[in-house]
Amino acid sequence: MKEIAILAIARYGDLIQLSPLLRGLKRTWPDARITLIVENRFSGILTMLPGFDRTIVLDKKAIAGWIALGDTPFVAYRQMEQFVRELEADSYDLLINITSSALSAFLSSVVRAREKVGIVADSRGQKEIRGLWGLYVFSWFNDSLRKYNTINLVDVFTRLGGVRPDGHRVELTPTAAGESFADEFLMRHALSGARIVGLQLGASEANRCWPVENFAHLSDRLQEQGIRTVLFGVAAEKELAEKAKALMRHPPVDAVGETSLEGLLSLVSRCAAVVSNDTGTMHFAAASGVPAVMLCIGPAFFRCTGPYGAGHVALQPDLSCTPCPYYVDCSEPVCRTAIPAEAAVNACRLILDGDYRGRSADFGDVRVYRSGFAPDGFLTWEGLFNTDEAEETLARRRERMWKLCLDGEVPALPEEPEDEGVRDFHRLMAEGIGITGRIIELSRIAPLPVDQIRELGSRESAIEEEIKRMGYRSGLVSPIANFLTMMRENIGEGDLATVARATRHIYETGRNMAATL
Amino acid sequence: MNHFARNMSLLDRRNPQLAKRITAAADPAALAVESARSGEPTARRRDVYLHSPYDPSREADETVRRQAAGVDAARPVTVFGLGLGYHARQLASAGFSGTIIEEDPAVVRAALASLDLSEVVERFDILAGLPADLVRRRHAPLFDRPLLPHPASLRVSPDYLGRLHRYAEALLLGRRGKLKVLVVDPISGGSLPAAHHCSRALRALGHKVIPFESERLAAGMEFAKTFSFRESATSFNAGLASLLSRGVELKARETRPDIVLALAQAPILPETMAKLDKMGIPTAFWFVEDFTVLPYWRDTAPACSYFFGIQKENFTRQLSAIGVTRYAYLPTCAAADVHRPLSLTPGERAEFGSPLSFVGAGYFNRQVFFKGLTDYPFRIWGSDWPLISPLTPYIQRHGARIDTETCVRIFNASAVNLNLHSSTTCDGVAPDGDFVNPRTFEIAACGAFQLVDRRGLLPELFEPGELATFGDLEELREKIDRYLADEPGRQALATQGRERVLAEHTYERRIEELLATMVAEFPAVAARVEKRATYMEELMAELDRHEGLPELLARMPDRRWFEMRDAVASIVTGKGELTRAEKIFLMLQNVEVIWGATPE
Repeated sequence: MKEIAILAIARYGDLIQLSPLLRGLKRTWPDARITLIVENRFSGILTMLPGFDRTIVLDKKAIAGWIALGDTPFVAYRQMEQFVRELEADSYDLLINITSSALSAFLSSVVRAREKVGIVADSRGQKEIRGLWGLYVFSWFNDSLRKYNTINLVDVFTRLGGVRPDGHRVELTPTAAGESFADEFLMRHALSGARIVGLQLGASEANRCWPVENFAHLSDRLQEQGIRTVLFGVAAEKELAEKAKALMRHPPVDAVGETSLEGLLSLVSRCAAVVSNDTGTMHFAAASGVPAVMLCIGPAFFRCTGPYGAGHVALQPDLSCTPCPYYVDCSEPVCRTAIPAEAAVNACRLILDGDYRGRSADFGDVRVYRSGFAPDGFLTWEGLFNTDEAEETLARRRERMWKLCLDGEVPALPEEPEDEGVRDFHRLMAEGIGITGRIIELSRIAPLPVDQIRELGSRESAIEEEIKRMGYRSGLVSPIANFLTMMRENIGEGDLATVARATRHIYETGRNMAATL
Repeated sequence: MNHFARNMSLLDRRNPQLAKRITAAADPAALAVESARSGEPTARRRDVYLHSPYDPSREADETVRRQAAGVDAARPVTVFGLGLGYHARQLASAGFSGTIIEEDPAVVRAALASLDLSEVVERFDILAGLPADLVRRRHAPLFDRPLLPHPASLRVSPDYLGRLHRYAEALLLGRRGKLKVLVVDPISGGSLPAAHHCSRALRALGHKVIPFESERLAAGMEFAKTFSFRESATSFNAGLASLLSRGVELKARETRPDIVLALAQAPILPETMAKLDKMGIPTAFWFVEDFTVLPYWRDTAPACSYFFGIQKENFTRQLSAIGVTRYAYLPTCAAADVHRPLSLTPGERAEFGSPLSFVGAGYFNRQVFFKGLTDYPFRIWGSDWPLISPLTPYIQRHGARIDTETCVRIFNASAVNLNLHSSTTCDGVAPDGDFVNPRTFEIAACGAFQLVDRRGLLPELFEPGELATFGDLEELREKIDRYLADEPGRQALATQGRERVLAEHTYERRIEELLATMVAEFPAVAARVEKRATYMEELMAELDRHEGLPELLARMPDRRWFEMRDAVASIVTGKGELTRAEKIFLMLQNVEVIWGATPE
């Protein structure tokens, strides 16, 4: 029996996004035992997540509390040590770390596994990223380059785990308790048989929320069309809901603070559509097969964390700064108000009204996308309105490039790339391959021709610098350049020949990328 | 010969002073001695029996058997409460010896009249009728012994014996060195060094100090001086104090101390102390000021959890009048590591020394009184002296403020150090002066000779032969002359005085007393400290189980109280193999601690 562990010290959304990976692992190794390593704050969702066998749960909040208030670091130490003991108790064939934090790197380092992918701290505490798909995430995750990413995190997780996307949505299984809550709720609010659109007003941060005025307008417009609206949210979002309700002419049904996770899933599943900021509720909709309208505000980016499934609509403001990197603390979040309320009304019509075809003008300046599955099973997005054809083409080229190169399925390569914008880069890669190849040859000679190697090393360093500079100058090259830099940072210690071979592999990867782009 | 005569004749031999006091003691009015069923005498105070009304001897036998189990009879014990002496008699016959503390000498008298306690008198010292603070201070070593309370005595004397027993237990807990104390320094002024001394003493006793260094904002008070009107400066300073007080709240929220210790003038407002109280953190306020001069205690004392001051009865009465009963007398003291004997060079002796010296500010009474000493080779050090006066030729460094280290040199270099407590109302020795200033202890701690004005509370703090005192100018002049001519006499007094300070009047002793009072009075604090002490001792005992932890702890400057950041800073990544303990600390370093984890 194959033992697989998945380290997912992550929030609800990430856990839902794991489901295709779990599905793929079970499909590939039906008798595998899958262990999820999760944080207890978000483990409530596990009752609905199919495809795993057991859990190891970290009480991170308690440990944070002990760090903050503990009389001595020993208290937190003891708690963490207890958790580490649980991690050390078993050995695994494969550990998949889908979390990108330094904490997860150290947790990963104590898990005994034959193979590990994702970020891992080595025995000296140095972090290394294992697996090209892992490197790919790290090359843009905390960077402004995230906007160039074309592959949904769900697919990245799936490939990181070594299985293929299957063209099916994320999934959660409703529970009996959730279903009976939803039945009772609908009955209580006379919603049985009604067409319902769910509205998720809040988000993890205020700057990531679409204005309540817009939600109020959207709700009224939907209700005027005979559609009932239900407000979703946690108890802390009650005030937000009250503000929105005060602005509405037609009162919605307010479920804010009333739903458990299970109840929310079942209630969401009764909706015809859900309009949401980038939230767990949106992923609940995706997991229920309910089309979602994703409001991309702040760092929210549909290509990256959009609802995983076919038929969802994403509204992305046409602003040069969106999506912003996660670390930006924006003083003027113009993206919050850049999506007009009427654009969301029309996005709902795209989902609900089979006769509505839509026009660009219906969406103001907002870019409108719809999700679907590509033939290879990956999620992809089709530009519907206000999108730039050249940009869309480039996105598709990037999508293809990453899939081919990260999976090592590079077709026969042309001598020179078709795109002039990457030809210089391609030439630089070829030069790097030549130099590193020569270093490998010289490393076999005894005594070592040190001066010659040093001279080649200088030339190679100059290429490395030039790669970075090209990345800074060109948006076309920058994701590749950043990825290669990440690969280089990940080269471990070794003798000259080993390091030279690893470096040549970087240039080969870069050449393949430039050629396939 | 009856019991009383026999017992008293023995006591008179062992402790004639006590025997006199017992003889003089009136019969205990509220103590009824009556016959138990067994025929032996028993006693009750109102409704509470001090001994069994059936069989006091048997009861004592059982109590002693239970209490003394596991106690080595060769070690002196401390017994809280004598009653009629049944349990003491039982202890004495089991071979125990030590000290018995009793609140009321009349109870001792009743005991000596009721039973043959000759063996008790032979084997035990009896402390009867001493003020509790004196027992705590002068007889502190008694609390290091096995503590054997007489339960009924504690019930009839809850405020004296009950408190002392709780105090003794708290002192033992405090000595395990596991308290976390947030020390709020004043922004500036005379209490600031005292706050620093308190922090050092706390650390020396093994406790964790969480410093709140208000002095870092002293520049704000300097800035206040730029205002033209005093009202503006006062208002600005009030704002500064309010800001700092809020800071104390935040610091407490972040660090969760067991107690907050604030020194006089510390910027901690009543509303902050109320909030701390709500958080379960009691505030100890040590008012090292003369309550007759500075009236702000009227706001502070009712707000803090426990108030400590340097004056006794008069102040206690005033505090009671405003409803403050949680008050303890805690006299000033010296930092023995700062105020210490120095061997000075001849150059230093010439620079700082004088046959007669005074260090201090130019208060009114000093300005008047010292004019009568201008025929001596006299040096006056310190600030706030009038620029033009008959004393001008004696004032050193043009009246500049003298730092602590220079003070220590002056005390060490001078033959006679004059110590006159300040007063703004009288023109010499304050006739009703009670508290003893820090200078008294500081000069003594230096092993230097001083002539100090007589104070009401001085005899409790120093025994005869430890200090030389004066009551007026004539007496002072006579003693200056006498002691200038008697170096061995000066030396003897200085040596005795220093020994007394080291034994009883250091910051370490005061802090022990303050902490024990707080731990005794606030059971939640005691429970927290007990839990922590046990936890840390358990973890230390299981260190071998944690690979790499002993080595990591060995790198900490103080392994008891190291911080997470100390542990993490000691770990070098990327060089050698990390130990398991190091990896775990690196995990902890990467656990995000959010504000919400620090509940209000």
